[in-house]
Amino acid sequence: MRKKNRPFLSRPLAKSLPVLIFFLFFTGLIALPALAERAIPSTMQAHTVTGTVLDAADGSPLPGVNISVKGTTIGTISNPNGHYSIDAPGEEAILSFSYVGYLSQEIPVNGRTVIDVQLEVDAQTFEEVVVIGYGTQKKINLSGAVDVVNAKAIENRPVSNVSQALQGLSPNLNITVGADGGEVGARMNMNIRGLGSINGGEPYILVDGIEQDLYKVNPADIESISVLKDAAASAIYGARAAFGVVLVTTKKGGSDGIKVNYSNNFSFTAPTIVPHSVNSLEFAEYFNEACRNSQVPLMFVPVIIDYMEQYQAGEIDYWTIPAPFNPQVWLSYNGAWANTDWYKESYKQWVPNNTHNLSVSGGNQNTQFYISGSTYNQDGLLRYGHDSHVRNTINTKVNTRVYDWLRFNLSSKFSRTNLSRPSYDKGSFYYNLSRQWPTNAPYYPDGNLAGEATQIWLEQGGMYDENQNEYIIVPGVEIEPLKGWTIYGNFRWKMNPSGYTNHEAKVYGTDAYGLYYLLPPGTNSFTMASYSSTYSSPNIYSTYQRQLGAHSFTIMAGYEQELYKYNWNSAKRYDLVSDDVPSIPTATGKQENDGGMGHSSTRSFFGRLNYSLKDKYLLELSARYDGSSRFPDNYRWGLFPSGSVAYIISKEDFWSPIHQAVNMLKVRASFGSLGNQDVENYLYVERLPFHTNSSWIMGDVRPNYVQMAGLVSPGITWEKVRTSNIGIDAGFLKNRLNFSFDYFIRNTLDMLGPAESYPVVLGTEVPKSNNANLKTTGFEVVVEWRDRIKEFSYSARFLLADATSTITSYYNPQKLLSGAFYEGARLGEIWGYTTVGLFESDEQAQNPSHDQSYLSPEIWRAGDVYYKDINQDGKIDIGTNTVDNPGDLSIIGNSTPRYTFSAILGASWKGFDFNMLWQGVGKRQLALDGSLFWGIVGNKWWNIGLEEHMDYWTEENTDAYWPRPYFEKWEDKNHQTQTRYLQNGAYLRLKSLQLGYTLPLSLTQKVKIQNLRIYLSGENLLTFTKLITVFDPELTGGSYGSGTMYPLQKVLSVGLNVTF
Amino acid sequence: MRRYIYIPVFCVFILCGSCTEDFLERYPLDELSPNEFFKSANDLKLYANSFYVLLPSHSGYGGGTFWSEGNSDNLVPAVPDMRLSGIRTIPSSGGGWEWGNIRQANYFLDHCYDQLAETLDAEIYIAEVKFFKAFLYFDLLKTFGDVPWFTHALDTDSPELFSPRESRTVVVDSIVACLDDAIDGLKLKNVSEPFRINKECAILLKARVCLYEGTWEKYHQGTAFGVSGRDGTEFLAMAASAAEQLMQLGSAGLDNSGPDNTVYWSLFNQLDYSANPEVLLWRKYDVGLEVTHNLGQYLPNAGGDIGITRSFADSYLCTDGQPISTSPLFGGYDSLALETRNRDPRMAQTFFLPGDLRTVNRPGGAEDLIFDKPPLDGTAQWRATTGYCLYKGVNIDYAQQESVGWMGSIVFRYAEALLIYAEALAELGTISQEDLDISVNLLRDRVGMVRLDLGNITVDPDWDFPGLSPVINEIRRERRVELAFENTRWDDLARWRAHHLIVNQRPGGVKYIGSNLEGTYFAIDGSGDPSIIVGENLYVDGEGFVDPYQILLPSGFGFNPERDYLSPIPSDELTLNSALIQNPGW
Repeated sequence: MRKKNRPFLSRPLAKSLPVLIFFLFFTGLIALPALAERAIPSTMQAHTVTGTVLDAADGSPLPGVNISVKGTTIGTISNPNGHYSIDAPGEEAILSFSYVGYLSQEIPVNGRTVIDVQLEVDAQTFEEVVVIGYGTQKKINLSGAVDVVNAKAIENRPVSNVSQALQGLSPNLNITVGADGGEVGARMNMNIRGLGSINGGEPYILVDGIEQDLYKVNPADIESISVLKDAAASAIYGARAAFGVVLVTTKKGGSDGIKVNYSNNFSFTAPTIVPHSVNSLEFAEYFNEACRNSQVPLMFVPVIIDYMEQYQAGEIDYWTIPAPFNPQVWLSYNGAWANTDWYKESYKQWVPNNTHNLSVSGGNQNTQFYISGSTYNQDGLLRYGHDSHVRNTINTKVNTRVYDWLRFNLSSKFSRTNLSRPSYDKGSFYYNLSRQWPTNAPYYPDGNLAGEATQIWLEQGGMYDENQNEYIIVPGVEIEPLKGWTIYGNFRWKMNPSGYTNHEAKVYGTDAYGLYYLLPPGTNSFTMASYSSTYSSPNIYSTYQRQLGAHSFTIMAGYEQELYKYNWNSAKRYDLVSDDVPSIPTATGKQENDGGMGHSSTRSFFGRLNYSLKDKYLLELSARYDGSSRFPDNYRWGLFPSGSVAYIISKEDFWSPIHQAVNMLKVRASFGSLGNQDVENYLYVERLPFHTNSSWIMGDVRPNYVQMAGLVSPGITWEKVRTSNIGIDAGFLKNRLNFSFDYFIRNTLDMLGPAESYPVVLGTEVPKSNNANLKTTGFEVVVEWRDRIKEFSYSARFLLADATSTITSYYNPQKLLSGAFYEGARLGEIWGYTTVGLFESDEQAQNPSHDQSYLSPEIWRAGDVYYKDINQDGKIDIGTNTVDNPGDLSIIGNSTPRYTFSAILGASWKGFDFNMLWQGVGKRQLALDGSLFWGIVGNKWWNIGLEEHMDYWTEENTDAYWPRPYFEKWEDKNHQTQTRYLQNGAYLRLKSLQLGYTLPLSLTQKVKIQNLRIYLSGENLLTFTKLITVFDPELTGGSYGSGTMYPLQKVLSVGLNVTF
Repeated sequence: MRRYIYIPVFCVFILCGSCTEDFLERYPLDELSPNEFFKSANDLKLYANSFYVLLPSHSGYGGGTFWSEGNSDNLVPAVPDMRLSGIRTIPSSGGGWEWGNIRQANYFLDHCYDQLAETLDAEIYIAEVKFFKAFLYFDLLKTFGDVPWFTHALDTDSPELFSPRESRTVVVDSIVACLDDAIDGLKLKNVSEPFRINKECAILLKARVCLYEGTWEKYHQGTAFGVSGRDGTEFLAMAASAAEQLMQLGSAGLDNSGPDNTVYWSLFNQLDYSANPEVLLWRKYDVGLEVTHNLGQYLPNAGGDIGITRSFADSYLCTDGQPISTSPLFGGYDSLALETRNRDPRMAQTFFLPGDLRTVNRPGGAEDLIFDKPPLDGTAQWRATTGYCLYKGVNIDYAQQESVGWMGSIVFRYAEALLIYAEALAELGTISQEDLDISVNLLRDRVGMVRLDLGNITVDPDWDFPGLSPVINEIRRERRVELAFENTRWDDLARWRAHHLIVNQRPGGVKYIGSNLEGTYFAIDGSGDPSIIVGENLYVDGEGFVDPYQILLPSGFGFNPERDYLSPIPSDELTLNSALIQNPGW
C-alpha cells in the first residue's frame, strides 16, 4: 500500500524486490565466516556500526539476517543472538537489512554507531507486485487467477529452452513434449488449463509486452513469469489470449551502481531411455515363429542361424558374404548374421554441452540499463552424422527520465539460433531405426559403410543448417501530465529474417567387389531458402489512478494494432561439382525456385476499471474490442468483456482473533469472454492451390499444376471462450503456509472445424465453420510451506491440477465414431475392445458362438486374443460404428493427462543450497501402436525385436504377455486397441535437481567478487512409471508408430555464478 | 506546460500512423481465386495437368504395372489376394469410395467457361478433363457398379450428397457421353502435345468401357449384378465401332520393329516411346528430374515374392496353332526349356528362361549375369513363388538396375484396340476371317505365330469357357497372352463372370519333382546342404508341381460369386446417406 500514490511506472521497479531479498540473503549467509575480517580498505574513514535485529512481532532475536552496505560489496550476518557488527565505509552509508520471510529495511547510518532494528513479517506472497496485462498489481489485490513463477526456479537449469524449464512450475501450465521429441531445437507443446479448442489453443506469450518465441529467450535474462489463467486476467488481451497468457518480464538495471554477472554451465546429456534389441538369434526365432504362424516360408533358414551362432561365439568375424546368386551384392537382412543393437549404435551417451551468460547492469536515479549476452551450445546425440543447436542472445534495456513527467525507454533483443543436422529425412531415420534388423551392421566386412543402413546417409548425405534470427526493438515513452495520470506509448517492432541451407550429397554405396555405386536418387543438390516475417504494432494506453477516501480507482484505456507480414523463398540447384563445396554457384544443373507471402492484421481497443473499497472489496471490469483480418467484413469485430470480484475477509475487524493462525484469506470470482482468432489466414476466400513439379513429366519438364479450390466458409468468425473461475487464497502462520485454490469452467463456443461428417461424395474437405462447442472444467491447488530453523531454511511447494474437456456440440448427427468428434465426447477418450485374455486352445478360439471373423477372416488359434463379446451378440464387431451402436467397442481409457502434479523442494544451510523439482501425471492411459510397441506388426519389413517383446505366445510359452506374432493381414487379429495392451501413462519424474555452494564472502571479497556460487545440477534423473520400458512416458508419439522420435535426454551438469 | 503540447501531438502521431482505411482487409498475396483464373487456354491446361498422375504407371518399389495382376489367375503374390480369397470385409471408410478427383474434374467443368477469353486450344483441355472424368468414373463403376453421377462440384448444401446410386447403365451412358465429347475436342496424337491425352486414347478408352459393359451385361444377365432388360448388344456394337474407328484412323499401328523372337519383349522395356507407333500414351521417367521407379531392382532378379501361374503358362498355343492338350509339338513340363519349346513366340518373351541375360554393362567389366533357374529357395524378396519368372518388362542394362530406373511406362497401346475389335465382333457373332486378319492376326504376325483361322480352330478339351464358341475362347486366349501383366486380367474375369477359374482353385507353378530343377538347390555356404526341403520351404502337389498356396489356401480361393464381383460401400457412408443401398451379398 505504501506506493499507492506513486506514478504507475515505478511499480515494476518494486517487483525486483523479492529477487533482491533473496540475493542479499545468500550474500549474507556466505559472509558469516567473514565476520572477523574487515571490509576492504577504503579511502573513506571506516565507521563501525553494531546493533541487534529483532522480530517486530514478538521481540525475539533474529539470527542470520543479512546486513549490507548499500552500493558496496560489504556485508555481514547477524549472530544467533541477533547481534551484528559492520564496518560502513562512511557515516553517510545506508545499511540494508534483509531476511527471508521479513520485509527488508534500508536505514541511513547518519553517524550513528548503534542501530537496533525490528523487522516485520513480510506478507510477502501477497504484497508482492505481479506483472499483469498493461500494468502491475499487488498480488493481494488480484481478483483473477494469476500464478507467478520466480526466476529462481528456472535459473541455472541445464535445459535448452525456457519451455523446458517451465514444465511443472505452475499448475495447469501444461508443457509436453512436441512432435520433434528430444531433437536439438525441438519445441514443446504448451497449454493452460487443457486443450482450449479442437483447433488447438496455445497461450499468448509476451516477453516484456511483445509477443516473442520462448525458444529465443535467454533463460538467464528472466526475472519473473506471470501466468494469466482465467478470462478476467487475460481479457485485456482479448482475441489474442483466449487460452491464457504467459507474461515474461526480463531483468532491468538498478539505480545503485554497476553490477557484472557471469554464469556458466557445462552439461552432459544422454538419452533417458534406449530400447534394447534382442540378439539376432532371438530375433530370427521371433521372426520364424511369426512366419510359421502366418504360414509363409521361414524367413531365416538354418544355414543363416548357424552363421549367427558362429558369429556370436566369435568363431567368425564377418557378418555377411557376397550373395551366391549375385556375388556383387552383400547378403543382408534375412541373409545376414550380424548382431547389432541399432538404438545403441545410433545414439551417443553423455554428450557435452555448455552455456555462458554475461550481464552488466546498473544506473542512477534517472537512467538505468541492463545489457546481457549469452551463448548456448548443444550437441545432439547422433552417433553417425552430427546434430547441434547454438543460441546466442543479446538483450538491452535502457530507461531514462528526462523530466519529472517524461520518460523514454528502449528495449532491444537479438536472438540467433543455429540448428544443424544431417539432411537425411529425420522422419525416415526414426522410422528406419524402429524397423532395423540386428542381422545387418553399419559396416560391411570390408570396412565400407553398409548401403542398407541409414548410417551411410547420415554420414555422407550432407547437412541441413538452419538459422533463426529475431530482432526486437521497442522504443517507448511515458508521459505523466498529472499526478496519477500516465500515458504510455510504444512501437513494437519485430523482425525474423531466417533461413536454411540444405545440402543433399551424393551417397555412394559399395558392392561386394568394393565398387562404388550411387544410391538413389543419385543426384546432389543445394538449397538455399530464406523466410522472414515482420511484426509491427503501435500501442498506446493510459492509466489514471485516484484515491477518494476509502474508494480507490484505477482506469486504463488503450489502443493497439498489429500487422504481421511474412514471405519466403527458396532456390535449389542440382549437380554440384563437388560435394565438398556445396553452394548455389558451384552447382551446374537444373534450377528450381519457390516462394510465397502473406499478411494478417488486428486492431483493438481496450479498457479496464479497478475499484477497491477499503482495500477489502475489489472489483475489476475490463473489455476489449478486436477486429481481425482473418474474418470476413461482417464477422470481423468482437467485443470481449470480463469482470471479477474479490473479498479479502482477513482484513475485516472480526477476523483479528484468528489473524495469528490465518493471516490472510481472500475469495475471488470471475467471469469473462475471450475470442480466438488463431486460425489460418483467408479461410473465407476461395483459392486455387498452385503446385510445381508434377511427377508426370511433359517433354523435359515437370509441369506446374492447379487444383480445385476447397470449399470456404463465407461466414466464419471468432471462436468465443467463456471462463468462470472461483478461487481462494489463504496464508497461515505468518505466511509460512500458503494455500491457493482455483476451480474453473471454460466453454469454448463456435469453434472452427475440423470437418463435420458429410458423405465422402462431397469430394473435398468440409470447410471450417463455427459449429462446435467444448466445455473444459478443472482445478488448481497450490500449497506452499516456507520456514527456517536457525540457519537452515527450507521450502516446499506442491502443485496439483486437472482439466478435462467434453464436446458439448458438434455436427455428427449419427455420432459416428469415425467422425472427428461427437456430442458428449471427452477429449482423449480411447475406444477399444475389452480383452478376456489369450485363447488357450484352438478349440476355444474357433468356438462358433464367439465369432471374431469381423476382425480377421483368418483361422483363430490358441495364443490369439480373446475379445469380450460385450453386447452378447455372438460376434465381435463394431456394430454401426456409432456411439449408440458401437458393437463390442467401449471407452476403455483416456489419453488426457489428469492430475498433473509437481513438488518443488528447496533448502539452504550456510553456503549450501539444494533444490529439487518432481513433476508427473497422476492418471493417463495410452493406446500405443507401431513396431516399438508390438514388435512384429504387419509387413515383414516394418518390424523390430526388443527385449520387451520376447514374452510372446508359443506352444512352449502359453503364459505369455504378447499374443502369437503374425505378419501381414493376420496382425489384425491381435493388434486391435484393447484393454489388455492399454498402457498406464502415469509417471513421476525428478525433473530437476540442483546442489549449490556459495563461497564465503571473506574469500571472494579479496578479488572484489560479491557472490560466487558453484553448483551441480541434473535433469530427468529419475523416473517412476508403469509404462512398458521401451518408452519414455513423455515420448510416446511419433509419425511412424509410438516412440519413433528422437529420445529425450537426461542431463548432468556443473556450473558457476559470479557477481562482481 | 510544454507537456500539454506534446501529448496531443504524440497521440495524433500514433493514431494517424495506423489509421488506414482498409487495414483489416487482407487478401491472399500469392494465391488466385477462381475469378482470376480460367481465363486462358493455358489456365485450363495448368488445371488439366493435375490429373495425369492418376493414370496407372510404374511407381515406387516393386514391379510397377507388371505386378498389378496379382489380383487374378495370372500372378501369385506371397499373400493371396483378398478378393479372390473371398475374405474382404466391409470397411468403415475408404475402400475405394473416393470422390475427390471426380470433384476435381467437375469443379473444372463448372468454371471452365466462366471467363474464357480465348477459345482456341481451350477445347483441348476441356476435352482432357472430360476424358479424366470418364476414366475416374470407369474405375468407380468397376469397383462398385451403380454409383451416383454428379454433373457439378458439390457443396455442403447440395441435395446430391444424399442421393441414391444411379443404375450402371446411366453411369456408362454418361461416361460414353464424356468420352464422345473428349474425342471431339482432342486432336490426333501426331498433332497433340506429347505426353498429353490425344484423340486415340479417348477412342481406345471408349472401346474399352463399351466392351466392359457389353460383356458385363451379357454374362451377368439374370444375376444380382446384371442389368435387367439388357444383354450387352448395344455396347458391344459401340465397342466394335470405336475400335474400328481407331483402326481406320491409321495414325497408330503395331510396333513391328524387331526380329520375331524379341519384338514383343523389347516393346515393354524401352526408355523412350516417343516415336513408337503403338504406344498412344506413356509416362516418362528422368533421373535428372527425380522422377524414377525401382522396377530394375526387382524384375531382373526374378524373385520378388511373386510368380506367374501355370494356368497362364498353359494358355500359350504351340507353334502349330494347337493347344498343348492336343499339339504333338508340346514338350512337357520337365524343364522350362522343354516347356517353352515350340510355343507361341511370345511365351519365351514373357517368361525368364535359362540362359536369358539378366544384367549387362556391369561396371568394372564384370561379367554379365544370366538367369540360370528360378530362385525357388529364396526368402522374402528373393523368392520366386511359382518358378515361372517374369521376363516381360525386364531391362537388362545395369544402369536401370543399380538404384533407380527410368524405363518408360506404357499407359495405352494400340494392340488393345485390335483385341477389343475382335472380341466385340465375336461376342456379337458377326466376326469374319477378314475381321480376324485385321486384328488378332496382326498381333500373331508380328511375332511369327501361325494365324488364327476361323474355319479351322482346334477344339481344346481344356478351354476355359467350354460353353462358349471356339472363336470367343481363342480371342480370349489371345487377349490373355498379348496383354499379359498389363492390368487387364481381373477386369476380364469380372466382365466374363469367369469365377469358375477362381473358386476353389489354387494357382500352380512349375514342375519341381521330376523336373530338371529337383535337387539342384544348395545352401549358400558351399556345405552341400540342400536349400529346398519339400514341405518346409517349398510345397508341391501330387504331380510334383509347385503349389504355393497349399498351406495358405487348402481348399483354394474362397471367392464368393454372389458377392465378390463388386466391392462393399463403406459402412459409414451408408449411415450418413440412408439412400445408399449396399451391394449384393454384403
